[in-house]
Amino acid sequence: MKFSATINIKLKKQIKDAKGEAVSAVLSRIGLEDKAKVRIGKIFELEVNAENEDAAKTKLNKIIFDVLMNPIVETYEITTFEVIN
Amino acid sequence: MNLASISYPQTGLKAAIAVFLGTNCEKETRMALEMAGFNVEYIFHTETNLEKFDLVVLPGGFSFGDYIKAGRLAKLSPVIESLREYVKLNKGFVLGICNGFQILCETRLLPGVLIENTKTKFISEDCALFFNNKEITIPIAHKEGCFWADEDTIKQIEKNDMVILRYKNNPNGSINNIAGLYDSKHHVIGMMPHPERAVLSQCGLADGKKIFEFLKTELLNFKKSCPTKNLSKKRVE
Repeated sequence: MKFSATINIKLKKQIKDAKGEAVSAVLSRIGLEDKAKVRIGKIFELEVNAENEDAAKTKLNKIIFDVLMNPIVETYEITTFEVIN
Repeated sequence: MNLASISYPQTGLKAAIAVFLGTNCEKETRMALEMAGFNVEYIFHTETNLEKFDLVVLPGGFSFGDYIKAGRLAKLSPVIESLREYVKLNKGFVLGICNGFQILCETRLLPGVLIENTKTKFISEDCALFFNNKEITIPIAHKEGCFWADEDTIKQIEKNDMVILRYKNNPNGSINNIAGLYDSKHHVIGMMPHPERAVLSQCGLADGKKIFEFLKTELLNFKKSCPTKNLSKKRVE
């Protein structure tokens, strides 16, 4: 079976997000939102082959922890997970 | 400048420079190591036999384009798997410079992680640092060079004397001004500054030599104190 998933990775809340702060400063400067809280992350859309849903989730978990993120500074969220065929 | 006037002492120490797709500092690293007396070989990131080397260097650059995050994809290379074994079995020393430091942190051979500089800029400048309680100046050139670790890890780092280099003016926001680290055994070294770019006084800076000379001395002492390493040396000879 083939599954598709969307994974969001972002810095943990206690880590300073310099990119987010840069965006926030621009939002203040152009008058759209003053001192907005902005956090920037990455989105991964990927497909995995697995025998069933559990196996797909296990594989996905390994991909996330071994490749996509570093749990020392980042967190993840699987925002979509569905069977393609 | 007359490069022929540079002397290359012979120490018998063998160093490997691991070249990844996107590495770009291997040539100057080779020259700096040779000036310190190392016999140097390039190895590709698919190499798995590190047996004959006293030192493995992960040089600067942008391995695998730094895609996802600096060092993230390089940590999955075959050479890194062998490097874990190399470190575990005390086969020799490891030096990671800039991208090499990022790779060592991603692989957990060194604690903590390098995140984006607090000012988000790519910083390229000569940088004042403290090395063995003395001030030296070595160039830095990075965007993800802000060292971060949780409180407990920082306590361990300080308690075990694992900081090899500190920034004087902390240009990137690193915790405790950390610019370079040892592992707990002092066999694995990672640093954001580029000592290999400061080994010729004719080019303005030569403080990087102090790092390579220090490394050479430490390695020679390590080999003297390590009987298995001496045995393997005899076999090779």
